[in-house]
Amino acid sequence: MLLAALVCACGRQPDEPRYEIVYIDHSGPPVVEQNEPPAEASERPFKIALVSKISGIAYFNVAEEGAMEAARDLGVELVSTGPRVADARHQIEVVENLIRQGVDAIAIAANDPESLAPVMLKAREQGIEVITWDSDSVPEARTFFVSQVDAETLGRHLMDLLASHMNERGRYAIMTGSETALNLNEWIHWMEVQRSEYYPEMELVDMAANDEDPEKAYREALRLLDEHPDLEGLVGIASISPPALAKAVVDRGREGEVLVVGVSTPELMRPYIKSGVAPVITLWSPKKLGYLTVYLAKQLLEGRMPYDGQRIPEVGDIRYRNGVVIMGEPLDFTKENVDEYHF
Amino acid sequence: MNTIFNRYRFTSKLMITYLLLTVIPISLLGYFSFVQYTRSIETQVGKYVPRILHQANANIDRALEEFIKLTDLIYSSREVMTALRTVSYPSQSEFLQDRFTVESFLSQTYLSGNYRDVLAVFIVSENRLFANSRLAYADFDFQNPVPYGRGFDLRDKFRIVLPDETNLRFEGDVPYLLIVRQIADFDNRRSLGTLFLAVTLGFMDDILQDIAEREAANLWVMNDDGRIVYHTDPEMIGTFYPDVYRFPIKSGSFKKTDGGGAELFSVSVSQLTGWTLVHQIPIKALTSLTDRTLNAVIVIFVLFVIVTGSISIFIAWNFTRPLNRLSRLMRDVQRGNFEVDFQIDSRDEVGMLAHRFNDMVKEIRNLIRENYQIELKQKEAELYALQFQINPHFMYNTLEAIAMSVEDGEKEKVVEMVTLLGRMLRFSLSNRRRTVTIAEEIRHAEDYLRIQKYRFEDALEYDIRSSIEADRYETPKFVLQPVLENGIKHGLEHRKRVRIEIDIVKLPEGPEHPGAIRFVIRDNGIGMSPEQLAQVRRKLQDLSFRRDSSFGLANVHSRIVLTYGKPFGLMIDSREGQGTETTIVIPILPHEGEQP
Repeated sequence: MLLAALVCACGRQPDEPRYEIVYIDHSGPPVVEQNEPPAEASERPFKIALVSKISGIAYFNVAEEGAMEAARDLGVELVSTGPRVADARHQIEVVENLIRQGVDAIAIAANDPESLAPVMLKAREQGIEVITWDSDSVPEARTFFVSQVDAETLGRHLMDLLASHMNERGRYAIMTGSETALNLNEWIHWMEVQRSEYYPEMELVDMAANDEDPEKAYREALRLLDEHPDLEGLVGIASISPPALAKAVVDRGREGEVLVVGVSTPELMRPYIKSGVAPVITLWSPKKLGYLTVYLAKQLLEGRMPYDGQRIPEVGDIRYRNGVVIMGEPLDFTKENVDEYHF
Repeated sequence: MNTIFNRYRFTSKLMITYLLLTVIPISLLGYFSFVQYTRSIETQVGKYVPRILHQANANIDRALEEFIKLTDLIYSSREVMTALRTVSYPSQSEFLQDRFTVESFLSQTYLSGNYRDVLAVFIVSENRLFANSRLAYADFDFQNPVPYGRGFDLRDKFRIVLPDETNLRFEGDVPYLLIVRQIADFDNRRSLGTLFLAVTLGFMDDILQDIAEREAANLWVMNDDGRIVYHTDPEMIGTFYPDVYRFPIKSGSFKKTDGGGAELFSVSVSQLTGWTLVHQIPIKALTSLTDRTLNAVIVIFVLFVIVTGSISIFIAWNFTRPLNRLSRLMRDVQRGNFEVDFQIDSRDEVGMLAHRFNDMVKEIRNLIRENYQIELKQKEAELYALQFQINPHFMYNTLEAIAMSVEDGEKEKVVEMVTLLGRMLRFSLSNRRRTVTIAEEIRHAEDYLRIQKYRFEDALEYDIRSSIEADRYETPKFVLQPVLENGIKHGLEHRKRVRIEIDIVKLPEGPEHPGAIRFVIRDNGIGMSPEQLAQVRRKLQDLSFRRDSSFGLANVHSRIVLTYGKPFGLMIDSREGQGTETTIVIPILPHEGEQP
């Protein structure tokens, strides 16, 4: 004891304070260094494919921007692709191609819930994580679906918007993107539910599908206007529908008689919103959706499922139930706020 | 060891033993238990405090997270978001209107009283500053609010800016933290501006003041560089703690020892901010109770040592004092003073020793006295013997007999008598030794008897029979003549004839008898009556001397007894009308040649 004290006393400099550890606390959680890159980053980055319904349209281009932002933030490799034609057959080809390329995860906005299932299952058999975004497939074919909004909420909201601008009475028609797209059909279903519950004096007179083709959309819009002279409202489902409908209304000189509501981007609809042809257009941020999809795909590759109330950086809180992620509430663009949005 | 130990005095030995057995073990025991106790307190506190700090850190993190969450409230207001998204204004009034919208939102949301720790909130967006503050502030450079943080892209994260990184000052220099968040437009995927939430350190106070209950303890929060974010001493906030790089661990406790004494540090790192929460307390403060106990124990120990030390000194002194006195008395005795008395009351071993010593000294004193008196009596007896070897009465009678013989002309008779008398005189005067050979003693007795024979002629008969080699043994001088004198006197007083026989034998050594030479002198005189005999025997027992009829016998007896002790001596036996038998027993004294 004395000897030890002497040795210690001799061993140190007179002015140097001596530190002697009494106790090391291992019970506390390890200190996580901030901004520490994940371990996977040192290996090959994840390769995530984002498949849109159709390539080249504004909505999916904007979503791709968000996805690219996420890929930058998260350090993953993004393959953004889509069919030239918005149908299941072309989309299957795209997926087959991705399987051959060897990606780690595929996030697909399915044009058809049923017919895409086999190729999605094939991809999963190859060890590729498959999720859907924007438009769902059958649940067996994917791990979860990243939905922009709750279908019921959106459908009922669209019906309410239409009703409020038509004073809850009159005839209207719907133009949808694809007859097979699950999300679009669900919205239409919930619109009809809302109408039958609250708006008995309103009547749905016709429906049209544009197959995500702007030319066809315009033709169908003219057809609807020409076939139904007493039409007072038009609802555009899928982002290219409202601009085509609005253009047809303007071209046929029916402004003031027929109003347009629906789901589209503010950039496409800005002139018609400002002119009053379309008093309100609803959407979400496709950028945000793209970002969220890539984020969740990467998280899944790391082995974690999303959970209800999870806070996603740069996105916000999400909801999650029964394999469906819901990004948030729909946004309404009106004359007053349309200039705030840039997509 | 033994020889070294033996060198010390008894008192020293007792003291050393006492020290070895009492003081040293107790002080070692006390020292070790104190050290051990202090160490265990350190360990206990060292384990306990980090847990509290850990908890406190979690609480601080939670509070900070609350503040961070607070910043999200901005997204809940569509008007504010609209205002922030607006980049250019056609008129000043529209800008002022937007500013009013945003600032009133900030006021209602952040400064309405629910969040009392929020000092101020600033939003910097597109060269616009929206601000609301509880206190007056100065120098908030909104174009460049964080000098070194320019261009940093926080995305969805946050940053905490310390007062030293910015120029912002509040009234009264209130310490604060600036929580910086980017306001993101999630829909448009771009940044709308930056929100600065200034909060007081009150929340840290609430959490940490309880822990720093002791005044001696210091508690502070610092970042990696040692910049003190919060300190229980408000003066210290904002200063640097330079020793942060020396901390050996990030989480736990350690002891720092330098010239000023030891201090116990406990540290815990925040997960959210990476800040280190430090609890510093001097070891002295932890062990103050122990130190008080230690002081009390030391006082008690010193008292104990004094008391037991005095007791042991007292015992040692009590033990050695009689021994020292004994040693002094023994020196006195050694010098010849036997008149000592060792007074002691105790009944222990020393008391017993003292009693034995007293007894011994008394015994020695008695023996000396006895020896001395015997010597005196011997001298006296010998002096008398010398004085009365030749009885003047006998001398007179002899000389008268010689005169008568001269008258009668008996020439040969005269010559012989004178020769005999001369020889007797020479024997008694010339020889100064106490003992003579038995042969010389016999001749002297014979000389005496022959002279008496000349006087009394046929009335005296004698016979001397010796069965020993009379030249080889010695005897005390003048033992026979007094007996013969006595016999002749008593024999011729009442009778006309007397016969005296002398037998000399050597008694061999027996198992119980040392061996002796016996002279037996018998006469056939009138003897003694039993009363007379008893009287004579009494006189023989009394070793003092009186001049009376039996003086000669007593003298012989005394001399033999005083010189050789009993059972040697003279015994007398007599019957009235039949005669007296006198026995002299002496030890065997071999003659060792002529004495010079």
